[in-house]
Amino acid sequence: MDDLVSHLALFLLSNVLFGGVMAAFLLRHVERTILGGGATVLLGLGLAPFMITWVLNAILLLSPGGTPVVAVGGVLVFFSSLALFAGRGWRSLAEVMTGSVSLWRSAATWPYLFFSMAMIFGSYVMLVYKPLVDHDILEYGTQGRIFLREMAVRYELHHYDQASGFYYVGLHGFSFPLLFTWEGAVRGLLNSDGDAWVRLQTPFFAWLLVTFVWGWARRYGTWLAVWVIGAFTLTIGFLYLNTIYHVDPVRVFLFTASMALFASVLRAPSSAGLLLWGLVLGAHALTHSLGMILAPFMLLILVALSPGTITARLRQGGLATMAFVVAGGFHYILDVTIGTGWLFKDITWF
Amino acid sequence: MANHARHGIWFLVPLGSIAFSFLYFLVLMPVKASPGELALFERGIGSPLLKVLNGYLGAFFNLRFLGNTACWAMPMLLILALRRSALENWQRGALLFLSLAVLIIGGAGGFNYRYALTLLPTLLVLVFVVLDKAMVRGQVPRGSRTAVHVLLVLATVLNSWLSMDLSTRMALADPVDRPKRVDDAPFYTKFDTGPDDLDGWLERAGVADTDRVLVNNLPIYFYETHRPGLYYWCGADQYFGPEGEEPIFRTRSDDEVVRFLTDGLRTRYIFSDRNLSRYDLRFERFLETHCTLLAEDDKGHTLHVLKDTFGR
Repeated sequence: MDDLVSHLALFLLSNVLFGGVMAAFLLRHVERTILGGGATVLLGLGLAPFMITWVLNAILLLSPGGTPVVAVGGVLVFFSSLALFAGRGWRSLAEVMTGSVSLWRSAATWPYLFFSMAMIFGSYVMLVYKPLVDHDILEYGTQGRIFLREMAVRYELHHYDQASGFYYVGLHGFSFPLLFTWEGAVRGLLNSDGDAWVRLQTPFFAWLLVTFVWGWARRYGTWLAVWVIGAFTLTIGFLYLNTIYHVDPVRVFLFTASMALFASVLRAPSSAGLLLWGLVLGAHALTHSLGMILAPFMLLILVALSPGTITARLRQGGLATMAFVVAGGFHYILDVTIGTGWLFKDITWF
Repeated sequence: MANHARHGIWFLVPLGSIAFSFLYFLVLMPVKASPGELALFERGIGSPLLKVLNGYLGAFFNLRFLGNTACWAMPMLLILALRRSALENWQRGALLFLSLAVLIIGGAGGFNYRYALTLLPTLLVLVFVVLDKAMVRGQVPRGSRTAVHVLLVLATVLNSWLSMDLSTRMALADPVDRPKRVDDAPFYTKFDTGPDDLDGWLERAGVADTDRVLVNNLPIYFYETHRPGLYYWCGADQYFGPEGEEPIFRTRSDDEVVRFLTDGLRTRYIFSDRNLSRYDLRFERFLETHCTLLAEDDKGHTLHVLKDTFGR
């Protein structure tokens, strides 16, 4: 298959279609008051790649040694089920998308569109002129391809690959390396090769992050949101971030979304809101160790400050913790008990 | 008149950001590393003051990467903490968590600006919203409020320019980075820092498919080729093998290192680049004294072979 067609097909499937499924599912099951319709859609788009890797992680861990067809099929079945259970969420999604057109009438939207267009142009330049050369993502990529070759995720003391001599020093959840596994598996079925889809995730999540922050700040003022994203996108660290292929935009997006949800569930805890918050915390953890380190503090603060009796607060904390563990915390439980030991081992920091 | 003066005080916020940027980039930040302290220099923590500014409190004060607006989040968090009884429950929770997150990230990983960047969007929302609410409470007219916000954004632009200027000055003072910086090729052609056709390059240098190569922190070797390698990082003298990490140089003399590489690890080749090799002066010297340079590409990647291996 032509390379460009396969890049596009993978993006449309993994980010647009699966993102739409996640968004519709969330709109069906989570109150819109928690984040607002637009932010919920953005969260759906951001959670879709994570859910792909979560399903892959489960398949490769629980049923190692299968074929890529089984793994890709498992992901398709998972998202098909979500699409079915989304029910009237599809209509809500259509409403939110139609409603978002009205934003274009506001002059305060144009600066956001300008920033978006600048980011899209920058992404295009980068995708064309920059192959995968950045250090950390090459380690993720190599490990992701090892997962694909072995069709297995293992928890072991040393992630050492006998065949190549590669040693995976990362101590984070496997979500990001598994993006490479997903791309490799799908491309294998399409008889193509490459990593353009994973490379695209950096600018895609950077754009999602900017848009999410813009939507979040709009609650306090439409022009205020413009100044916030202006200050953010023009900060040199963010500009650098857009010239490096990395996990950072993914995890910063997930962290920021978890902050917005945290404020929301502290204000008005609901079961769906708590589960979604726990899911996002878990997604952040499965993407990066920082998510695992920060999540317990958030969960404890919820139990300490949430309104209601201590029993009710413990129940709320328990619900969110359960979602967190299932979504991403499990990785660290396994890694500490039967794997590398995570941070509880002798680490040379540099 | 008194009102104008009272409203004018808010302009001190962006002006303060600008003043801080000039102080930071033109006075506090060094442009040249001390010998053997490249890692600390590159992370901007080469002195006790910089360790606090860019490290422990990097989420607020690492202007080199995180801009000059988030610094206002620190006094805001302190003021809000003092006035916590006036806050709503969710605001107290968010405030407490943000403060803890700053401490955790600063204490554990703040030396890496990317970790502190995690908090930047949230801190920027905090700064702009709190500042706006404070100005509204102070009955500052809408036009002046907008002007303060716009100036803050412009101060960010100035800060980014100063940061790029610092990077240029650092590169020009660096013998390895200087040629890349003064090269007038279009900027987009410099994105591709990886070796061109790595497999072919190794083959042309005489490395057989089955030869094991000691790879100095260049994972592209494992990503792009199917050749066997040994993963190593000279900056911390860590070789990563089946039993985890172990030092190569720390516990051995140079001659013992040669024997360990040839007999223990069964390799004669070392793949590195000029920039990475200098993270350890002994490793860099070892390449010069005990190895022969087989190949070097125009991006600084080097392939060395051990001398005196008697055909092994």
